[in-house]
Amino acid sequence: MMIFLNFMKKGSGMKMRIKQVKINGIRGFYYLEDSPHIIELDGKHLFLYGENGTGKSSFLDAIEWCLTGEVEESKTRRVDKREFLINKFCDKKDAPFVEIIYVHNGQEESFCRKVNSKTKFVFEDLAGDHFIDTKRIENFVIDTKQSLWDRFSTLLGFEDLIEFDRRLRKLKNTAEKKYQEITEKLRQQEKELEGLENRMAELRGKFKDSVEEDLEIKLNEEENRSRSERFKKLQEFIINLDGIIKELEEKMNLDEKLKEYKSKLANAQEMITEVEISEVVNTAYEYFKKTEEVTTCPVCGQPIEYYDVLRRLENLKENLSKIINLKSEIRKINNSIEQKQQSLLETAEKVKNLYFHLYKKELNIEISKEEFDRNLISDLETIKEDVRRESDAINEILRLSQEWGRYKEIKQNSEKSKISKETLETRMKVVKKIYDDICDFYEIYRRKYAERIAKELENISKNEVTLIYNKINQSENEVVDTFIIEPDIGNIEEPKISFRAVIKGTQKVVDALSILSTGHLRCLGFALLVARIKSNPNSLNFIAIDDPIYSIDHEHRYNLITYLRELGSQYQLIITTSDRVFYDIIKHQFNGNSFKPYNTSFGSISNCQNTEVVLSIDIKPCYRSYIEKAEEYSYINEIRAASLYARLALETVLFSLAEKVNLKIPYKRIHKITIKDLMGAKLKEELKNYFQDRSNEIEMEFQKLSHHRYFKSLLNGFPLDEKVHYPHEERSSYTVKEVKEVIETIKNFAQFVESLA
Amino acid sequence: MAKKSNILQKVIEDITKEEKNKINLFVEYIMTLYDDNYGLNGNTNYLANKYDDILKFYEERIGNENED
Repeated sequence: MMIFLNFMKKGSGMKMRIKQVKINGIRGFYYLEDSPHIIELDGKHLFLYGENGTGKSSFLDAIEWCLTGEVEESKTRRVDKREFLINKFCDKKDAPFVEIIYVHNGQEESFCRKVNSKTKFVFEDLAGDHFIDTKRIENFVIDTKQSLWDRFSTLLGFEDLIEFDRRLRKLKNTAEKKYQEITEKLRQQEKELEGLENRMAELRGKFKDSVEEDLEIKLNEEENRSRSERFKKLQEFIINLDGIIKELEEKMNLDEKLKEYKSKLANAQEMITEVEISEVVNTAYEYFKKTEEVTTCPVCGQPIEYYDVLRRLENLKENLSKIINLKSEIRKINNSIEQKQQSLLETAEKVKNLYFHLYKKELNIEISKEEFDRNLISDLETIKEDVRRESDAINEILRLSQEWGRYKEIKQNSEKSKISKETLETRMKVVKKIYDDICDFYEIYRRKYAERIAKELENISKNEVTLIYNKINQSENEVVDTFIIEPDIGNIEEPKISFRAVIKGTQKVVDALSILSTGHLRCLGFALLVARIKSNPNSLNFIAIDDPIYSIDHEHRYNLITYLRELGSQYQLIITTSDRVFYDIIKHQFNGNSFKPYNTSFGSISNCQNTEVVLSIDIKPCYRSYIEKAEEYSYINEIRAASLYARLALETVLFSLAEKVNLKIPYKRIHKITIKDLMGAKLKEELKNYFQDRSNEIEMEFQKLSHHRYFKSLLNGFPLDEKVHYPHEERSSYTVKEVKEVIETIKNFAQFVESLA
Repeated sequence: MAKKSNILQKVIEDITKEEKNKINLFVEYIMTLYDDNYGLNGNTNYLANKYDDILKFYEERIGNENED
């Protein structure tokens, strides 16, 4: 940069003119060992014509990369810069490069940029402004959704700053969200911790007088295990004791029942020996049953009442049955008592063992067969009460122990929660710092970025903008006296650009957008970019424009060319175009010695011989490719594109004929050379004279052409206007069939012309 | 073309030079994104998605400062 400053001469610009460009292995240029593609400029202007895809942009990309270190198209397309730059046929061993030999302050110097090299061109920071991309101007015109600030900033090449501003804003939002999230998380953590502490306090309250440390000792796990075991044994003892008591009670009931039955039996037995009676009764009963007519006793011969005796016998039989049943019941009860006795003995043994196990002393439970003392039950109940008390006490300790376990768990969680909270607090500090830093940085950035763009705009002379605009836009109806383009960065959050115009003759200031058409805006965009170069005292001496007519409508092209001629007196112009007519015109508007014409074709860039002939046709006849294109488009019913290519094919053929016969065309407005002009210059007649032996055929072929309404339109001067370049816009259209006929006719005509040669 | 070459880099450098007192870790982080091939702009393409990366950078830097 210091070297650069030494060279600066204020107000005079950096006298730098490109002499030669050497390209090897970059973009569309093949790598040729020791033999790079050389494009000679000799410090003159360079006009480069070529169809799409033939290398114009490759050439401009190459010099842009060499002088600025960047190739913006790769960024636009979002492809790797290296990938974009290196020619696809390069080998790994090749070393692609671009070298520019230039004259600076009278001295020849050169700069060579190689892929992977970090060399910096001395004027690298300035060079970018000298490349005018007309697509950028078009975007400025059509991108009406953006604010004026963004549109002007993008036009001037500051989109990286705008983009970064958007990204930064997005990041700021993310940082804010993250900060809010962590704040919320911390709040929840605090809430959880508070809940845990409350629960701990609640549990501590349950321990009442117990001191935590004592509890810790008292309720240690091992002791609790033995407590738990003892508790189980006590429970088992109680259950068994309950069993004994229950069985004792049942046994007592049985004893009572036995007593009752025995008493009943005694009563019955007092009256009779049941067996004897039974035998008698049975015999009598059977006898009476068989012989109903007995009226006297068979034993004593006394008269008897048959039914009375029968009833008494039946009663007797019933009573005897009762006695027998009672005896049977008594036997059963005795059996039950015996079994109960046995069970009691077993349970008592169990209980005694359990008791001994629990208290290491003997328990006296006397189960006698004869006597069941209620006192035993009472004693057992007393023992049971004592054991239950102990059991309850152990149970309480165990319960407390469980609570203590819970308390400890909560306490542990609480500790963890505290640690999490601390971690969160630390994280939150970082997150907050990030957010604060981004906010601070964002504010500074916005100010710097706004200042940078504002300064750039302020440095551009608005008078120069108006001057250039008016030159390109010459019109009797022109109303703009001066443009006012003022940045307003008072509000950093929303920088603005005030874009106004002073109305000629009135000094009235109006909103410029309200009076400027799309075409006017294109002119303004171009004027602004050129004015920026002109306003910069340190500007370099060249301007590269990629297809300048891309965004300038036809009516203004002549003015543009006139202005470019004026601009060319100060700056070395490097102009590319895919519009052949424009190319021809611009060549004729410049002094033949002041420029180098080139055309690109598939394969290479070739230097064209510049002549002063009105129509110096230095373009290789390429009507075939136009026909192919026309056919291609007609095939997919793209009628407008097909008819445009058909027209280009016809023009190419007719211009080649014009060249052949050295046709002289009188013209006033050179930018409007049309097929009509060629015909008006008597191309057909000149051809007939030139090829006298085939004059009839020539007449016939031209007649075939003129039969079609498409040609009538062309022959009537259908101009190359903006509609041609914007085929999507509405214009007169042809049917598919018509266009296909047109293409076929031109093809035949071209073949005829070839046969002439 | 005509795009301001490395303009973002230049603005950030201006900030680091002129706003020394206000400079913060975030600018240092941004500077780490500079890349020879894509410059600063290319690597800040998805800046909003780099939050975790920024957090890591901050934690490391703050951690180092605390250790010092």
